[in-house]
Amino acid sequence: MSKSSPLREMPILVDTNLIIHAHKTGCWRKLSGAYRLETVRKCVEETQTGFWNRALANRIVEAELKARVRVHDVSEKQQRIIVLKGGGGLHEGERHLWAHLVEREKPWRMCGPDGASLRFGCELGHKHELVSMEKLLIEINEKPPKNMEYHYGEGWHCDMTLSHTLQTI
Amino acid sequence: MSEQVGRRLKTIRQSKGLSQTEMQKALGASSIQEVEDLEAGLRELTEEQFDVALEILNVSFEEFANPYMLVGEERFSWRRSEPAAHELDAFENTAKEWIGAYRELGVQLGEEPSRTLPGTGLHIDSSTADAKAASEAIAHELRLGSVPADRLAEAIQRDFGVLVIPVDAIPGISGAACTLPHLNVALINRNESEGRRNFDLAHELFHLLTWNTMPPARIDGECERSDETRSRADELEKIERLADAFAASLLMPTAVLRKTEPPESIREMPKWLADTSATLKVSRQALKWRLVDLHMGPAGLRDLEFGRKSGIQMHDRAEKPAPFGTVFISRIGEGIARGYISNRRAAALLNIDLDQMGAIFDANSVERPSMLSGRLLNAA
Repeated sequence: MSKSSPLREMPILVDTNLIIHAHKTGCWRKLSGAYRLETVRKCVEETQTGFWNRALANRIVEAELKARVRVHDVSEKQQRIIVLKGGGGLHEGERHLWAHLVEREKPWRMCGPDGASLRFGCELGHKHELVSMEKLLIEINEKPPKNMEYHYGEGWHCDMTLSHTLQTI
Repeated sequence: MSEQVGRRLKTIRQSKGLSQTEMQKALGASSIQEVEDLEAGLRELTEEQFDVALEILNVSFEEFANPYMLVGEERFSWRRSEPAAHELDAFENTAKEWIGAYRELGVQLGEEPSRTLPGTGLHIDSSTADAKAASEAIAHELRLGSVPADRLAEAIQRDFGVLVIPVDAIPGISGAACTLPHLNVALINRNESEGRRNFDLAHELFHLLTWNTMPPARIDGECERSDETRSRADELEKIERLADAFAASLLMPTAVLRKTEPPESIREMPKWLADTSATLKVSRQALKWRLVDLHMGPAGLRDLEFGRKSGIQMHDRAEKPAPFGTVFISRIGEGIARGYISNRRAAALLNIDLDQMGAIFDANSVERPSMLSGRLLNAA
């Protein structure tokens, strides 16, 4: 275990996608035990919506989630800032997460494996604050689970952030 | 400030009929150039200016914040038989967001705006014969061939830039035409029979081609206000008659029908109509009336009824078109792939579960964006 990993010394903000996929792949407890995970209330709500035809085993218990993750509220004023910065292509949870982050003092990292969220983060100049789920696992000497999807991996993450960075030059 | 916000500001301002000068004064901007820079995304709105903009534009934060929601720059014309006004209003709002998303993503992706539609020369004083002649010219231009219904949707998208969206419309809605700056759209209820879908598409095409000279009512043939005059009501009815004549002639061209050989006996007509309408992909009713119009077919055709008495069972075996269509879904896919719309935002737009997103791409034979591919990190 990399006890001195800088990632373990700072808050890691996670979005709905990460929370759900980590539960689905069975690595949520390891990640939430090793890192200071944080999120926003809208993402917690989204993990509870009935959109998802999830097997009972994969359902996320809100109380347990909140016990392992610090949850932030986001004001309307903060949301407005994201609108003004062009976050219209993001879903609510993603917008709320970025609304929290743009006023957050560093250091922090954000794990939100979606192309539009990554693009938005790069455009705001936060490319170096973005981190993949695979990297989070590697840093705690955990092998990525077999059912982990490709876009939660470091390869996809690097390709996307590089592509978005080049497009914003 | 993002270009998207600037576009939104400009679109809403224009739809509200406000000038840049009025906006300049309201925002306390030093010059018109500052307003132009704001609308081009070259300059950022302050939070105070944003509050003022919302007030002067008379829009809520939620309305402004959704870059995909049309704000009055569009005109719809619906073909409906049943739904109550409030149901139609709700569905129209859903359609506005689909169309707005298609347009906004197109701008972000650098796609060319729609081509200008060809003129038809038709106006309110035109006759049904004029409408039919115009349809034959359009059919020739689009190279529709001997079964125009086969190629119509593809041809008008390819050659006229009309977006055709097959949708799960609320019951009683057949379709709609929607026109807005640089984009024309035909919505078709994918759950209707094939013949009905094709006729509706041809009917909506008429409206899109003639909107400038003969704007249709928001609901086919219906006056929108109780104080509208009788002459306006007559006008709207005429527009619908011309649209139907155009559609019938487009889908069942004279030259094609002249080559068919309707039987001389009325007793043989039901089966002939069933077979020929299936070939042309139109309804039996539409074909029957087209023949009557061309003075073809046996005596008594006009009075021929359909239904159980005819003894001919009609089953619509044609496959339903995939929801939303290839062109629309391709744009959504490109938007996801290039990071302009998130997966979850796209799923919400289409009103489906995230889990169903991949299937929508498959149904439309569009390659899934990587996030929806289901590919595993450790796949062999």
